[in-house]
Amino acid sequence: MLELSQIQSNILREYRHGTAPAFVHFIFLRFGDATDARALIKTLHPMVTSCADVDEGVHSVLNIGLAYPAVEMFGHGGDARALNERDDEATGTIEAFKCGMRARAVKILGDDEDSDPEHWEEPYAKGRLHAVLCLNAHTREKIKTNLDLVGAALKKYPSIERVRDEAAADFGGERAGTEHFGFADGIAQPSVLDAGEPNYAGSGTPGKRRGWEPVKTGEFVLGHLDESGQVQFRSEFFKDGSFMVFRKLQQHVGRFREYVSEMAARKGVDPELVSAKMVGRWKSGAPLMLSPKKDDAKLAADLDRNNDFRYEDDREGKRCPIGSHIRRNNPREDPTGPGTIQTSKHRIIRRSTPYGTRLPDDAADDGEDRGVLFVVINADIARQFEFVQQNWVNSVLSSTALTLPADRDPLIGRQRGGDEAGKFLIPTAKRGTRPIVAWGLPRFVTTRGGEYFLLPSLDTLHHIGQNTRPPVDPEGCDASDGSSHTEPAAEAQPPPEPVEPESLPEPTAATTETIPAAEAAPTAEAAPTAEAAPTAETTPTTEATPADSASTEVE
Amino acid sequence: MTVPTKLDTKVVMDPSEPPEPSDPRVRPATVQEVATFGLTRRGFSVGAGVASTAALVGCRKSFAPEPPRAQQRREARRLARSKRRAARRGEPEPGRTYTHTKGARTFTMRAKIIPGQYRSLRALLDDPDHNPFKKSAVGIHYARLFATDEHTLYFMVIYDNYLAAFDFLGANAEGVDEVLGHCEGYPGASDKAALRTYVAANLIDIQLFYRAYNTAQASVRDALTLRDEFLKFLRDTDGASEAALRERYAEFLSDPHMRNYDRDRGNDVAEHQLTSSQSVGLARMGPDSVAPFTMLARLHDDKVKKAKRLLRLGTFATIDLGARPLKNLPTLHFARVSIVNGNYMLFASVYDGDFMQYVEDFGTRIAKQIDTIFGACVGYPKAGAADVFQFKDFLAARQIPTNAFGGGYLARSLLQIQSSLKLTDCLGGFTRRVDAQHRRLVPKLDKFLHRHHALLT
Repeated sequence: MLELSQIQSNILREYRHGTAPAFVHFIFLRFGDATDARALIKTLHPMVTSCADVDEGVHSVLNIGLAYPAVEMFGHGGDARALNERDDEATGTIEAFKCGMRARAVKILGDDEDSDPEHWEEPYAKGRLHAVLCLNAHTREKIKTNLDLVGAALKKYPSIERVRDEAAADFGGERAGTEHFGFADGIAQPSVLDAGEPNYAGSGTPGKRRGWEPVKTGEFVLGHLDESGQVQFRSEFFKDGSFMVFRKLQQHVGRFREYVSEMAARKGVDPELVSAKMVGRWKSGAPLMLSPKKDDAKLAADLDRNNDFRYEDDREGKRCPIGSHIRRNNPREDPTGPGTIQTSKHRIIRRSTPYGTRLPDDAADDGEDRGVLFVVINADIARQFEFVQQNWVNSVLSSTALTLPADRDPLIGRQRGGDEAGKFLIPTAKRGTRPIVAWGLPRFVTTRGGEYFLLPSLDTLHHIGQNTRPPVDPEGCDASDGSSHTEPAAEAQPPPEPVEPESLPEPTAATTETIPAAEAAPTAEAAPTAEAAPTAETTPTTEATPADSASTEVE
Repeated sequence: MTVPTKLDTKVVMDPSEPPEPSDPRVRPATVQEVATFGLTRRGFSVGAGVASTAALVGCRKSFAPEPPRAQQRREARRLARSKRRAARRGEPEPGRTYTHTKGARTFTMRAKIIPGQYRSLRALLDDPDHNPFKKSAVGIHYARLFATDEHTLYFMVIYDNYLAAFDFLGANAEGVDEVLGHCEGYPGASDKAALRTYVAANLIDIQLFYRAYNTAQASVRDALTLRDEFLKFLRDTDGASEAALRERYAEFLSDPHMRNYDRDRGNDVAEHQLTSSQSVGLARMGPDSVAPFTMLARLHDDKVKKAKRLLRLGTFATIDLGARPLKNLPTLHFARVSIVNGNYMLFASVYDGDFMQYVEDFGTRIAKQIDTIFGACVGYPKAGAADVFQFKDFLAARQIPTNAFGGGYLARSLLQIQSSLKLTDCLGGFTRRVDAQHRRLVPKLDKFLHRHHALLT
């Protein structure tokens, strides 16, 4: 069973269309030293909301994400490293998390040309970020109050640099839940096993007959059983956490509208149809598979129906083109493409909120910056987010039908210019009519920045704040225990000592409280190298007093 | 397919390759092909009969390490014909082109590294700037070089014509000699006769050879170019008037690749100087292209025999018995399996794109069949290939880095190749029926596009 009070609220709550918070604010931080960082986390910890809090009615939430440099700074790099050596499968994730998004942007995520990290915005383009504070609320006042609180907390720690703020807000009114191109966003979301959310038809994995199975918890929450039947990330540090991908995506609205209307005019069809074919849904969110001829607002509003479809009757893509955005990113049981098993291993929870002002319907492009702040929640960045981005959006969709050898996602894919420009094929069901080919697709979405973060469990945040170690899971893997206690400074120390001394002095609740975090931390940070070869010590800090007190207490 | 009873019946290895009754002088395929065929479950008695006959005439064990002589002779005849034609027209004499050979074949050469030279060879191979396959080559699909820890160097090539492989080595003598010079008894690539003897002496058996398409490299390249041209034609005529369409269509019909295709069908169109019939450079692979995978895995001693038999039966790749699991992999171009050193399985394949995607295709599409082959390996995951992550670890742990890899069309995916070949085929029929003056050109073209829309994506 999931401990919902441990899991940060933005992992499993309020991500569906209609429930998503209207106001979103991200504060990106760079830490100067670990003491202040720990103290900040300690201060903010009571404010951090869990899924259980949201269930109790808290709707203005604060979540904390840590990038790898911060994890390293807090001395938990060992957990990640141990994982890296021990757990082959997790290697991909840790590798991705360690490198950060910028290092993997060009080769894996397909961010080239305009989207190249060289052209990214300032804090993303240079250096590494350390942490992100995510504030979500349903009203403007609430988010303002929370922002003030967080701002006041941040001011107390001068070494922490508030690098950048990103704010986004839903359009509200009749455009609530849509993005700049005009489409309803966030409809097909996975429903997660045991998450305590309703399992709408179509949101899980297609079952044998008509039913839909919820996706296994381990696909989104670390330390739980995942679709492959394994439990990755058993170490207490990661358990109940998740990985968050943040991406700032700029949308070229003018370009999109212009292209669509030009294509429609040339082929003599409705522009709405062309754009709907590109996405796979009408603007209201009604899927083409269920309503192929016209938009259907009633269908779109019905959460139990608007996602309840499969592609088995549409092998040729005559209703929903095989290359369309939704069919690529969630192929379900697509008989021509990746099957159920393959799809279920690459699901992601998405949450995106538009930033910038909305371009009025008939207005020409005003050159303003607008787009979405896009967040992905997944347990394995390499296997889920990066895989989808690399293989399904930007490359050959593995498929046994002779389809899509060269084309990319028409909406968010990377496109080449000139002769190599992508195209998008819209087959027609009417006999004897040639398919519509949308030639020379430009790039509609440009990446402006992004980073990978870990959303630790509330306990882990508590331990980081207190500068203590989470207790070792008795069922956890030994190898991880062995090295999870190594300090970053203790790298030189060759083999981690046998497990016995470590498992003994487990800090009990009492010891945890007695160690003053603010005092313990600075020495750990300031003199890590000075202590040349610290013997396999019990507590993370190499400083004498807390270590002594801990060991004496145990004895 | 009929079961051959006599050795002089033409036996077709691959069902996609139609028999050619038109040329009775063609010598039958090599004896071992007959034997391989006979041993399938078509009927053991027939198989046994053929096998025993094959044994009498000296059956070779592997697929096609020797040049099929018929192929060579056909090539020679064609060359003579085009020479005569050139002489008649006063054109320069054409060289050997290999355009007309049928389908891809492969050999694997294993050479022993001279004691004491392994490290220097390793250093040479691991140098990322070192590329032994610099020069162009005709009729070579893919080639690769790698060294294993047993101080052995492997050279694998997929070719259209056996001799093309030596032309290729000869052309790259400089880089190849540098590498193969570390091997015992290597005579140097410039001396072709000696090289052939050397290669023939060092060939190893290939137990299984799978090809997703059975077309000569030049034809593949022709098809790819033709598809590009056709898409360009469609794009240019998008929304154009009928007159403009007819004009552009006539232009497209005169496209040398289109006519080159016709020539393959026996139309007497003069040979054109085409980029695709020209030499093809072997480039080093980029991030967005075809990739090689090589694996050396130890087999359980008691399972070697069974694995060999299973592979030799060939049901996995070569013979159509309705069960060709590898055909279900949309990213696998070629695969070869050999048993080397007694109990090691050497698996080498050419695939598209991302490794994870490739492994998942194995694990989700043909897990059972893969289990029967790889299940004989030590350390194979208990749950089989269906456990994708364990299976990936299994493959990754046994992978051998491929030190040099080159190919004729590295930037093209398998789906692209397959749809190009199919489109070329369909277009051949269409253009024969509908010419630029056809009264109902536009509706005909619309209908054609509607029907074959999947080939255009």
